[in-house]
Amino acid sequence: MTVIKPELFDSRSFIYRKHQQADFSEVSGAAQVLSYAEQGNPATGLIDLSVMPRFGLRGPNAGESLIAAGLQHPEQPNTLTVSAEGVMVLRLGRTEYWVLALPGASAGPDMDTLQQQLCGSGIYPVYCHDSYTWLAMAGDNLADIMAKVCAVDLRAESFAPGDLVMTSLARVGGIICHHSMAGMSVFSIFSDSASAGYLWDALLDAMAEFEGVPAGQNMLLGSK
Amino acid sequence: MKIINCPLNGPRNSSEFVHGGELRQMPDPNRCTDKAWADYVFYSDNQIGVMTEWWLHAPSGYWFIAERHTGSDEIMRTYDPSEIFTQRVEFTEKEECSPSEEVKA
Repeated sequence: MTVIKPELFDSRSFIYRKHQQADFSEVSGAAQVLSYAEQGNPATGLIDLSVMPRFGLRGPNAGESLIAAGLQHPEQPNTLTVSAEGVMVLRLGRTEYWVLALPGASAGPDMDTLQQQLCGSGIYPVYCHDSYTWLAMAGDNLADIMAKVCAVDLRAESFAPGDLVMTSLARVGGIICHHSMAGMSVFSIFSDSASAGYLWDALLDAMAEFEGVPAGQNMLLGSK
Repeated sequence: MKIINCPLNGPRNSSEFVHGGELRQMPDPNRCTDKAWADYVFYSDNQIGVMTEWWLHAPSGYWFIAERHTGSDEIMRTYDPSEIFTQRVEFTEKEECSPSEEVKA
Protein backbone atom coordinates (compact mmCIF):
# COMPACT_ATOMS: atom_id res chain seq x y z
CA MET A 1 0.00 0.00 0.00
CA THR A 2 1.32 3.42 -0.92
CA VAL A 3 1.59 5.92 1.88
CA ILE A 4 -0.08 9.11 0.69
CA LYS A 5 2.22 12.11 0.83
CA PRO A 6 1.76 15.63 -0.63
CA GLU A 7 4.81 15.09 -2.87
CA LEU A 8 2.89 12.43 -4.85
CA PHE A 9 0.65 15.15 -6.30
CA ASP A 10 1.28 18.19 -8.48
CA SER A 11 -1.37 20.13 -6.59
CA ARG A 12 -0.27 20.75 -2.99
CA SER A 13 -1.14 22.94 -0.06
CA PHE A 14 1.00 26.09 0.13
CA ILE A 15 2.32 24.92 3.48
CA TYR A 16 2.60 21.17 2.91
CA ARG A 17 6.20 21.19 4.13
CA LYS A 18 4.94 22.15 7.59
CA HIS A 19 2.94 18.90 7.91
CA GLN A 20 5.83 16.54 8.60
CA GLN A 21 4.19 14.25 11.17
CA ALA A 22 0.80 13.99 9.58
CA ASP A 23 -1.31 11.26 7.97
CA PHE A 24 -2.90 12.20 4.64
CA SER A 25 -5.66 11.05 2.35
CA GLU A 26 -6.30 11.97 -1.26
CA VAL A 27 -8.87 14.73 -1.81
CA SER A 28 -9.53 15.91 -5.38
CA GLY A 29 -6.03 15.26 -6.66
CA ALA A 30 -4.07 16.47 -3.63
CA ALA A 31 -3.13 15.32 -0.14
CA GLN A 32 -5.33 16.48 2.75
CA VAL A 33 -4.10 16.16 6.35
CA LEU A 34 -6.26 13.60 8.18
CA SER A 35 -4.57 13.85 11.55
CA TYR A 36 -1.29 14.59 13.23
CA ALA A 37 0.54 11.56 14.59
CA GLU A 38 0.47 10.80 18.30
CA GLN A 39 -2.19 13.37 18.98
CA GLY A 40 -5.10 12.82 21.34
CA ASN A 41 -8.18 14.94 21.12
CA PRO A 42 -7.01 18.56 21.16
CA ALA A 43 -9.30 21.20 22.66
CA THR A 44 -8.37 23.59 19.87
CA GLY A 45 -6.84 22.71 16.54
CA LEU A 46 -5.65 24.49 13.41
CA ILE A 47 -6.40 22.54 10.24
CA ASP A 48 -5.02 23.22 6.77
CA LEU A 49 -7.88 22.79 4.28
CA SER A 50 -6.16 24.59 1.39
CA VAL A 51 -6.55 21.68 -1.05
CA MET A 52 -10.33 21.35 -0.60
CA PRO A 53 -12.32 22.15 -3.76
CA ARG A 54 -13.86 25.61 -4.08
CA PHE A 55 -14.66 28.26 -6.66
CA GLY A 56 -16.11 31.75 -6.79
CA LEU A 57 -18.50 33.69 -8.96
CA ARG A 58 -19.68 37.25 -9.20
CA GLY A 59 -21.90 39.39 -11.35
CA PRO A 60 -25.51 40.59 -11.50
CA ASN A 61 -26.88 37.08 -12.20
CA ALA A 62 -24.67 35.18 -9.73
CA GLY A 63 -27.23 35.10 -6.88
CA GLU A 64 -30.08 33.85 -9.06
CA SER A 65 -27.91 31.13 -10.58
CA LEU A 66 -27.06 29.84 -7.08
CA ILE A 67 -30.74 29.55 -6.24
CA ALA A 68 -31.44 27.86 -9.60
CA ALA A 69 -28.67 25.34 -8.87
CA GLY A 70 -30.41 24.43 -5.61
CA LEU A 71 -27.80 25.96 -3.32
CA GLN A 72 -28.73 27.85 -0.17
CA HIS A 73 -28.43 31.54 -0.96
CA PRO A 74 -27.07 33.75 1.88
CA GLU A 75 -29.56 36.63 2.17
CA GLN A 76 -27.11 39.34 3.26
CA PRO A 77 -23.53 40.21 2.31
CA ASN A 78 -21.04 39.00 4.93
CA THR A 79 -23.07 35.92 5.78
CA LEU A 80 -22.77 32.24 4.81
CA THR A 81 -24.88 29.11 4.54
CA VAL A 82 -23.93 25.45 5.03
CA SER A 83 -26.08 22.77 3.40
CA ALA A 84 -26.74 19.30 4.78
CA GLU A 85 -24.50 17.91 2.00
CA GLY A 86 -21.56 19.95 3.32
CA VAL A 87 -21.48 22.72 0.71
CA MET A 88 -20.69 26.12 2.17
CA VAL A 89 -21.68 29.30 0.30
CA LEU A 90 -20.07 32.60 1.33
CA ARG A 91 -21.57 35.91 0.27
CA LEU A 92 -18.69 38.37 0.17
CA GLY A 93 -20.45 41.35 -1.35
CA ARG A 94 -23.63 42.37 -3.09
CA THR A 95 -22.89 40.11 -6.07
CA GLU A 96 -19.88 37.97 -5.08
CA TYR A 97 -20.06 34.39 -3.82
CA TRP A 98 -17.69 31.54 -3.03
CA VAL A 99 -18.85 27.92 -3.11
CA LEU A 100 -16.78 25.48 -1.01
CA ALA A 101 -16.85 21.78 -0.21
CA LEU A 102 -16.37 21.13 3.50
CA PRO A 103 -14.40 18.03 4.60
CA GLY A 104 -16.62 14.96 4.37
CA ALA A 105 -18.99 16.69 1.94
CA SER A 106 -21.01 14.15 0.02
CA ALA A 107 -21.21 16.64 -2.86
CA GLY A 108 -17.43 17.01 -3.02
CA PRO A 109 -16.86 15.27 -6.35
CA ASP A 110 -19.67 17.26 -7.92
CA MET A 111 -17.96 20.63 -7.49
CA ASP A 112 -16.74 20.61 -11.11
CA THR A 113 -20.27 19.95 -12.38
CA LEU A 114 -21.61 22.65 -10.11
CA GLN A 115 -19.05 25.13 -11.40
CA GLN A 116 -20.02 24.39 -15.01
CA GLN A 117 -23.67 24.86 -14.07
CA LEU A 118 -22.95 28.25 -12.49
CA CYS A 119 -21.83 30.16 -15.55
CA GLY A 120 -23.52 32.16 -18.26
CA SER A 121 -24.19 35.78 -19.04
CA GLY A 122 -23.90 38.16 -16.11
CA ILE A 123 -21.70 35.69 -14.18
CA TYR A 124 -17.94 36.01 -13.99
CA PRO A 125 -15.55 33.53 -12.37
CA VAL A 126 -13.66 34.45 -9.19
CA TYR A 127 -10.49 32.50 -8.53
CA CYS A 128 -10.16 31.53 -4.90
CA HIS A 129 -8.49 28.11 -4.92
CA ASP A 130 -4.84 28.57 -5.84
CA SER A 131 -4.68 32.19 -4.69
CA TYR A 132 -6.11 31.68 -1.19
CA THR A 133 -5.12 29.46 1.69
CA TRP A 134 -7.92 27.94 3.81
CA LEU A 135 -7.15 27.37 7.48
CA ALA A 136 -9.81 26.17 9.91
CA MET A 137 -9.48 26.91 13.61
CA ALA A 138 -11.79 24.63 15.57
CA GLY A 139 -12.64 23.98 19.21
CA ASP A 140 -12.64 26.15 22.35
CA ASN A 141 -11.61 29.76 23.06
CA LEU A 142 -11.68 30.81 19.41
CA ALA A 143 -12.75 34.39 20.14
CA ASP A 144 -10.06 34.80 22.83
CA ILE A 145 -7.38 33.48 20.48
CA MET A 146 -8.48 35.71 17.62
CA ALA A 147 -8.61 38.76 19.91
CA LYS A 148 -4.81 38.53 20.05
CA VAL A 149 -4.45 39.02 16.28
CA CYS A 150 -7.63 40.73 15.07
CA ALA A 151 -9.33 44.05 15.94
CA VAL A 152 -12.89 42.93 15.15
CA ASP A 153 -15.05 41.59 18.00
CA LEU A 154 -15.45 37.87 17.19
CA ARG A 155 -17.31 36.85 20.37
CA ALA A 156 -20.50 34.88 19.78
CA GLU A 157 -22.72 37.86 20.78
CA SER A 158 -21.55 39.90 17.81
CA PHE A 159 -20.22 37.15 15.50
CA ALA A 160 -22.75 34.33 15.42
CA PRO A 161 -22.48 31.13 13.37
CA GLY A 162 -23.37 32.08 9.81
CA ASP A 163 -21.53 35.40 9.96
CA LEU A 164 -18.30 36.25 8.19
CA VAL A 165 -15.97 39.24 8.36
CA MET A 166 -13.34 40.50 5.96
CA THR A 167 -10.65 42.22 7.96
CA SER A 168 -6.97 42.08 8.74
CA LEU A 169 -5.69 39.42 11.11
CA ALA A 170 -2.08 39.23 12.25
CA ARG A 171 -1.61 42.23 9.90
CA VAL A 172 -2.59 40.38 6.73
CA GLY A 173 -5.94 40.69 4.97
CA GLY A 174 -8.28 37.76 5.41
CA ILE A 175 -11.82 36.42 5.58
CA ILE A 176 -13.03 34.83 8.82
CA CYS A 177 -16.14 32.63 8.61
CA HIS A 178 -18.00 31.28 11.63
CA HIS A 179 -19.69 27.90 11.20
CA SER A 180 -19.91 24.65 13.14
CA MET A 181 -18.79 21.10 12.48
CA ALA A 182 -19.09 18.03 14.72
CA GLY A 183 -20.69 20.19 17.43
CA MET A 184 -17.69 22.54 17.56
CA SER A 185 -17.32 26.17 16.62
CA VAL A 186 -15.11 26.55 13.56
CA PHE A 187 -13.50 29.74 12.23
CA SER A 188 -12.60 29.16 8.58
CA ILE A 189 -9.89 31.65 7.65
CA PHE A 190 -9.02 32.56 4.05
CA SER A 191 -5.96 34.59 3.27
CA ASP A 192 -3.63 35.26 0.38
CA SER A 193 -1.58 32.16 -0.44
CA ALA A 194 1.65 34.19 -0.36
CA SER A 195 1.28 34.71 3.39
CA ALA A 196 0.07 31.17 4.17
CA GLY A 197 3.24 30.05 5.95
CA TYR A 198 3.44 33.19 8.02
CA LEU A 199 -0.24 33.03 9.00
CA TRP A 200 -0.03 29.34 9.96
CA ASP A 201 2.86 30.09 12.33
CA ALA A 202 1.27 33.30 13.67
CA LEU A 203 -2.04 31.58 14.46
CA LEU A 204 -0.31 28.61 16.12
CA ASP A 205 1.70 31.08 18.20
CA ALA A 206 -1.53 32.82 19.29
CA MET A 207 -3.13 29.43 20.03
CA ALA A 208 -0.23 28.12 22.11
CA GLU A 209 -1.50 29.97 25.21
CA PHE A 210 -4.77 28.03 24.91
CA GLU A 211 -3.07 24.69 24.17
CA GLY A 212 -4.02 24.86 20.51
CA VAL A 213 -2.12 22.54 18.18
CA PRO A 214 -2.02 21.69 14.47
CA ALA A 215 -4.62 19.07 13.57
CA GLY A 216 -6.23 17.32 10.61
CA GLN A 217 -9.67 17.11 9.08
CA ASN A 218 -10.61 14.15 11.29
CA MET A 219 -11.06 16.66 14.11
CA LEU A 220 -13.80 18.39 12.07
CA LEU A 221 -15.51 15.08 11.34
CA GLY A 222 -15.62 14.08 14.99
CA SER A 223 -13.38 11.05 14.50
CA LYS A 224 -9.85 10.39 15.70
CA MET B 1 -6.92 54.56 15.79
CA LYS B 2 -9.27 56.39 13.44
CA ILE B 3 -12.38 54.47 12.42
CA ILE B 4 -13.83 54.54 8.91
CA ASN B 5 -17.33 53.28 8.28
CA CYS B 6 -17.21 50.82 5.37
CA PRO B 7 -20.63 50.50 3.65
CA LEU B 8 -20.12 46.73 3.29
CA ASN B 9 -18.15 45.74 6.38
CA GLY B 10 -19.11 48.33 8.99
CA PRO B 11 -16.77 50.43 11.17
CA ARG B 12 -13.14 49.34 10.82
CA ASN B 13 -9.68 50.64 11.70
CA SER B 14 -8.45 53.14 9.14
CA SER B 15 -5.33 50.98 8.60
CA GLU B 16 -7.54 48.59 6.62
CA PHE B 17 -8.32 51.25 4.00
CA VAL B 18 -6.50 52.66 1.00
CA HIS B 19 -7.22 56.05 -0.58
CA GLY B 20 -8.14 55.80 -4.26
CA GLY B 21 -8.22 59.44 -5.35
CA GLU B 22 -10.96 61.83 -6.38
CA LEU B 23 -14.02 60.51 -8.14
CA ARG B 24 -13.91 62.02 -11.64
CA GLN B 25 -15.67 61.49 -14.91
CA MET B 26 -13.56 59.02 -16.91
CA PRO B 27 -13.08 60.03 -20.55
CA ASP B 28 -13.53 57.33 -23.18
CA PRO B 29 -9.95 55.96 -23.36
CA ASN B 30 -10.29 55.03 -27.05
CA ARG B 31 -11.64 58.37 -28.23
CA CYS B 32 -10.16 61.08 -26.01
CA THR B 33 -6.93 62.96 -26.66
CA ASP B 34 -3.71 61.93 -24.94
CA LYS B 35 -3.82 65.19 -23.01
CA ALA B 36 -7.32 64.49 -21.68
CA TRP B 37 -6.28 60.97 -20.66
CA ALA B 38 -3.09 62.17 -18.96
CA ASP B 39 -5.13 64.79 -17.15
CA TYR B 40 -7.52 62.10 -15.90
CA VAL B 41 -4.77 59.68 -14.84
CA PHE B 42 -2.10 61.95 -13.41
CA TYR B 43 -3.68 65.19 -12.17
CA SER B 44 -6.09 65.92 -9.37
CA ASP B 45 -7.76 69.14 -8.31
CA ASN B 46 -6.38 68.91 -4.77
CA GLN B 47 -8.80 71.46 -3.33
CA ILE B 48 -9.68 72.07 0.28
CA GLY B 49 -13.30 71.20 0.94
CA VAL B 50 -15.65 68.24 0.88
CA MET B 51 -14.42 65.93 -1.88
CA THR B 52 -16.00 62.79 -3.30
CA GLU B 53 -13.31 60.10 -3.31
CA TRP B 54 -12.74 56.44 -4.04
CA TRP B 55 -11.65 54.35 -1.06
CA LEU B 56 -10.71 50.67 -0.89
CA HIS B 57 -11.33 48.30 2.00
CA ALA B 58 -8.22 46.25 1.31
CA PRO B 59 -9.05 42.94 3.09
CA SER B 60 -12.27 42.55 1.13
CA GLY B 61 -11.12 44.26 -2.08
CA TYR B 62 -14.23 46.44 -1.86
CA TRP B 63 -14.22 49.88 -3.51
CA PHE B 64 -16.65 52.46 -2.21
CA ILE B 65 -17.19 56.21 -2.26
CA ALA B 66 -16.57 58.59 0.63
CA GLU B 67 -17.32 62.28 1.01
CA ARG B 68 -14.38 63.65 2.98
CA HIS B 69 -13.33 67.14 3.99
CA THR B 70 -9.72 67.37 2.83
CA GLY B 71 -8.93 70.03 5.45
CA SER B 72 -10.33 68.49 8.62
CA ASP B 73 -10.10 64.87 7.32
CA GLU B 74 -13.63 64.34 8.58
CA ILE B 75 -15.59 61.74 6.61
CA MET B 76 -19.16 62.96 6.10
CA ARG B 77 -20.60 59.93 4.37
CA THR B 78 -19.60 56.63 2.79
CA TYR B 79 -21.72 54.69 0.31
CA ASP B 80 -21.72 51.89 -2.26
CA PRO B 81 -20.72 52.95 -5.82
CA SER B 82 -24.01 51.47 -7.08
CA GLU B 83 -25.63 54.75 -5.96
CA ILE B 84 -23.75 56.49 -8.78
CA PHE B 85 -22.95 53.67 -11.21
CA THR B 86 -26.30 52.08 -11.94
CA GLN B 87 -25.10 50.12 -14.96
CA ARG B 88 -21.92 48.62 -16.36
CA VAL B 89 -19.61 51.20 -18.00
CA GLU B 90 -19.02 50.21 -21.63
CA PHE B 91 -16.65 51.86 -24.11
CA THR B 92 -16.67 51.94 -27.88
CA GLU B 93 -14.33 49.58 -29.72
CA LYS B 94 -10.90 50.96 -30.46
CA GLU B 95 -10.53 51.82 -34.13
CA GLU B 96 -7.96 49.63 -35.88
CA CYS B 97 -4.92 51.67 -36.84
CA SER B 98 -2.72 50.84 -39.81
CA PRO B 99 0.78 49.34 -39.18
CA SER B 100 2.48 52.58 -40.30
CA GLU B 101 0.56 54.54 -37.67
CA GLU B 102 1.58 52.05 -34.99
CA VAL B 103 5.24 52.54 -35.84
CA LYS B 104 4.86 56.31 -35.58
CA ALA B 105 3.17 55.96 -32.19
